[in-house]
Amino acid sequence: MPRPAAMRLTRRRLLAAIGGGLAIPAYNRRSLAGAQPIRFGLTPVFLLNDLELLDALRGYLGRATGHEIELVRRRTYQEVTALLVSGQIDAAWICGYPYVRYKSQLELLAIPEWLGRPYYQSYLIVDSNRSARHFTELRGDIHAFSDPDSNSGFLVTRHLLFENALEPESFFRKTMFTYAHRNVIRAVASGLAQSGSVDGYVWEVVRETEPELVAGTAPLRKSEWLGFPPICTSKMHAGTDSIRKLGDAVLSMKESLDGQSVLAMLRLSGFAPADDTVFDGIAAKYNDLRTLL
Amino acid sequence: MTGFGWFYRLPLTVRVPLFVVALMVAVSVAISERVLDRLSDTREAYLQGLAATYLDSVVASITASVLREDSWEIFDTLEQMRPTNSGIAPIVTVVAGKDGTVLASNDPVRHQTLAPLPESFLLNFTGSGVVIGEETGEGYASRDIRYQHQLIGRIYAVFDISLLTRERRQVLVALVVTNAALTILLGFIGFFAVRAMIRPMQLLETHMSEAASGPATPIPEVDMPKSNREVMRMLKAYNALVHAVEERKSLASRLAQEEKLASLGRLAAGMAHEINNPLGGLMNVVDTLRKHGESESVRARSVAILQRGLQGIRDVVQAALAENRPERLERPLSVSDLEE
Repeated sequence: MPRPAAMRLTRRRLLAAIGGGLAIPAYNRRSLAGAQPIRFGLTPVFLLNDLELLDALRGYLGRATGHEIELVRRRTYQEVTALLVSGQIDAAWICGYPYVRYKSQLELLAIPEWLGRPYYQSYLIVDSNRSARHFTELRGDIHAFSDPDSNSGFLVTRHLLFENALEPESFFRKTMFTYAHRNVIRAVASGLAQSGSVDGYVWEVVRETEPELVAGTAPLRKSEWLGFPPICTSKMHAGTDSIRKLGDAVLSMKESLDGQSVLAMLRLSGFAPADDTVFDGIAAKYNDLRTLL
Repeated sequence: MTGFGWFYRLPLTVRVPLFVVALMVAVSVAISERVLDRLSDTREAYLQGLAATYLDSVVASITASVLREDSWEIFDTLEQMRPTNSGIAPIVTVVAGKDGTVLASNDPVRHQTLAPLPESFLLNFTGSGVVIGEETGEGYASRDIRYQHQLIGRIYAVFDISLLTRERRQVLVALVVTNAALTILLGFIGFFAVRAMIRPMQLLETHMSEAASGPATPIPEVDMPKSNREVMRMLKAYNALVHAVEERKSLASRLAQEEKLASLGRLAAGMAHEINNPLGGLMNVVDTLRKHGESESVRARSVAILQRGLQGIRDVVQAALAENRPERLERPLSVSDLEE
């Protein structure tokens, strides 16, 4: 019934407007509203256009923490990482690469588990009709990266070229950033790019949800298993009550029905506790390239 | 004008409908031409507006991306701006940089990024506004992409205008069918109307032909079209003519009859006179014989007179008979007739 929902929303807005109108100081307003909202950042790691998933995630986290959850989304990884590092958001689901890069300012809360393990792969995808067997055959391609701050969508391929003493600018004819893994699949499937670097987890999930989109692409190379994009908080928020609640809520997601439905939508098996060693692989790549990036 | 001789030899009932049909065909060709012309104008204006709106909005959305040569952003924008519910949709949109190579298109397989645009493709975009390719069913429009008055690229859009072509064909078919139906209908109406109009003439013609070969008969009142006053006047004039001729004929025969009787009277009177002349003398002789018949000489003289007198009468009768015998009446004129 859309009408009552709209009325509730209106009432809430009205209360907020009254609060604003009374010019009560910000901390008072927060105490009036109850628990302080948790601002949770999301990088375009997974399907951000799935509004149903976002609603379910917000609903679960809100219920499990007792806080209102404010999902903060930005177009690029960099924007979300900047918000997190600067403490403008409380926690975020970021990529392993920014985590490794800003490790000194961030703290791990949990690592998602895919297929039972906190690891995933990066895929080099090409047109499904292409006969190429080795990545060196991609020379002269127009290549689609996901995001310059993405591990699977940039760092892995960048490191692969580095290992082979190749430069992306000269190896590829042109590179482009699509700022979403799904867009990398679109770019390759449409023929705009001849190859792309994509999150293997996203590719596998999209293959399940949008088989017709993925059908035009095929993985040419799968990377080694690397740490799955984790949920982090900034050092300045770590240890607060709300962050602890958030960490607990994420780790216990598979124990409740609504949590299970979120996990099912995400195609994840659960969340593992913080373990820095999971990201050793990414850290090694970052260290190799540190001076070049 | 001899070429139309065959036309004037055709009966009126065919000639008039033929003329109507020819006129109708001319009118419908002229009207169809005008309608299609107007349709073409409207169609072009519609297409120009549509193309201008599309190109304006795409250019506004992609200018920044073109400046950055961000192929993905351009592609993504083109994908998002692809109209889904319009009958006339841009089927191909290509954005090229200022060097003429493709930055992005919504069909990257056909127009690959960084590839130069083929001449055959560019040739379609010759004029300003939408160029209509009638044989391909496509419309072509292009526009410069400028940033701070500097040319940074160009956008090319190919529109599927088969809907408009189809619409034009439908209108043409509708016009042809309607006009053909109207023409045929009017042709038939013309045929029947002319036939109805000239039926009294045919009636008149029949009666006149009959009159030429036999007795002229007036046209019966029942056959006359009461509603057509001109024709009624004509037919009545004919009937009057027939009556006048009949009257003259009967007058002439009455006169001839009277003439015959008159000449018979004259003949009878002549004969009576010829017979009467000697009769007086003969009566006197008969009287003399009665008084003095005993005298031989008287008797002989009287008989001689009687004989002469009767002889004369017989001559008169014989002459009259010879003159008026029926077989004699029918013989041709002879020299002896003239001598008499």
